[in-house]
Amino acid sequence: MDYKRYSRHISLKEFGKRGQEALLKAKVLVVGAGGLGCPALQYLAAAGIGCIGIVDDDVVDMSNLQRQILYGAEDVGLAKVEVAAKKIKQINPEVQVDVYRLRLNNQNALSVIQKYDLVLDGSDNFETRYMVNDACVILNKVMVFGSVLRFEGQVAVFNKMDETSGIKTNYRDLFAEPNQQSNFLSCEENGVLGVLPGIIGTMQAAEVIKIISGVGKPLINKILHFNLLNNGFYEFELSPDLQNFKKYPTDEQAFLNFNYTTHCDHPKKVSDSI
Amino acid sequence: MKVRVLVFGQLKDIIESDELWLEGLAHSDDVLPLLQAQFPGIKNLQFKIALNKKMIQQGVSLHEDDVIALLPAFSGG
Repeated sequence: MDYKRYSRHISLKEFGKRGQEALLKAKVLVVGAGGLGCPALQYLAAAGIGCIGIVDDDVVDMSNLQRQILYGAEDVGLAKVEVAAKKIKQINPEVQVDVYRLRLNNQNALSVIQKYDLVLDGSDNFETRYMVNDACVILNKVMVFGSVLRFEGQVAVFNKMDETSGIKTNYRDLFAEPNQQSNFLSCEENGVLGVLPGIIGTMQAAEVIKIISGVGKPLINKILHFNLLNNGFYEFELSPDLQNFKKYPTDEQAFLNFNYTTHCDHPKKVSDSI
Repeated sequence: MKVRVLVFGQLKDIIESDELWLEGLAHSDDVLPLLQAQFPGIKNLQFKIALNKKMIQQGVSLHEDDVIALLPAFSGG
C-alpha cells in the first residue's frame, strides 16, 4: 500500500488502514461516463478502488463539457471511455481500469456486471436504468443509484440488505414500471445545472466508499432527494413492492429474453449523455 | 382532515408550487384522485407517494398534519 497517497484516509480513525485495504481490493463498475460518472470516477480512482470498470458507448461532445469534468475541448469526438480511463490513470496509476466501449443491453450486461463487486449507475435513460437494476438483482450486486434533472437529484443504495430488518429494496420497489411520458423529460431538452451531477455523482462515490469500507450509514432502503436551488435534502424510506415483483426478469434466462427497449419505449431517442 | 403535500421535480411545473395543503382526505388512496382532479397534467407523470417520509406500497389512513410527498422518477445522468 502507498501509505503516503492514502495517508489522509489512514488517519481517519473510523476508516484507517483497514478501510483503505478494503478499497484497494474492491472492484467497482461505473455505468455511464457522463455528468454523474465523471466526478464518481475521479473520486473512486483517487480513493484507490482496486479495479474500476467504465461502460459508455458515446464520444465527447462540446455540449458535455459544461458538466462532464474529465473532458476538455481537445477531447471532443474521442471515445469517452478512452479519455476517462487515461485521466483517472493520471490521478492514480495504481488503479486497474477496464474499458467497455459499448451500450449495455440484456445480452452483454450480465457478463460485464458479474465481474464487479458493486455497480454505480450514472446512466442517462430509463432503459439502461431498469436493465442495470434487474441485472444487479439477478446477480445480487449492490447498486448505487444516482439521477438528475434541472436543479434536482436523487441518490439511493439498492439491493443491499439492511442487517437489522432483513429488508432489501431496488428501483422496481420505487417505480415498478417505466412511464413512457417521463422519457420526454431528458436533460437534453430540460437542461441541468452543470454542478448538480457533480454533487450527485460525488455523493454516489461517497456511498460506494462507505459500503466498501463499512464506515457510516449508507442510503440502504432509502432514496435521498436534493434540491440545489434551496439546498433541500429530503429522505424517503423504501419498502418492498410485493404486488409487482414477478412482472420483470428475476433470473438469467428471463433477463436474456426480456425486451427492455419496448419495455421502456423511448418516444424520442436521447443520444446525449447528461 | 388537512394534510401538507410536498412536491418535487417536474411535478412542480404542473402543480405550480413546491407545497400545497389538501383538505377532506381520510385515506392515502384518496390522494391521487384528488390531485388528478385538480391537476390533470400529473396523469402523464410517473411519481411515488410518500407519507411522513415513507413510500406507500398499500393504502393507509391519514391523520391531521400528516406530510405527503410526491417524488417523480428522474432518468438524467
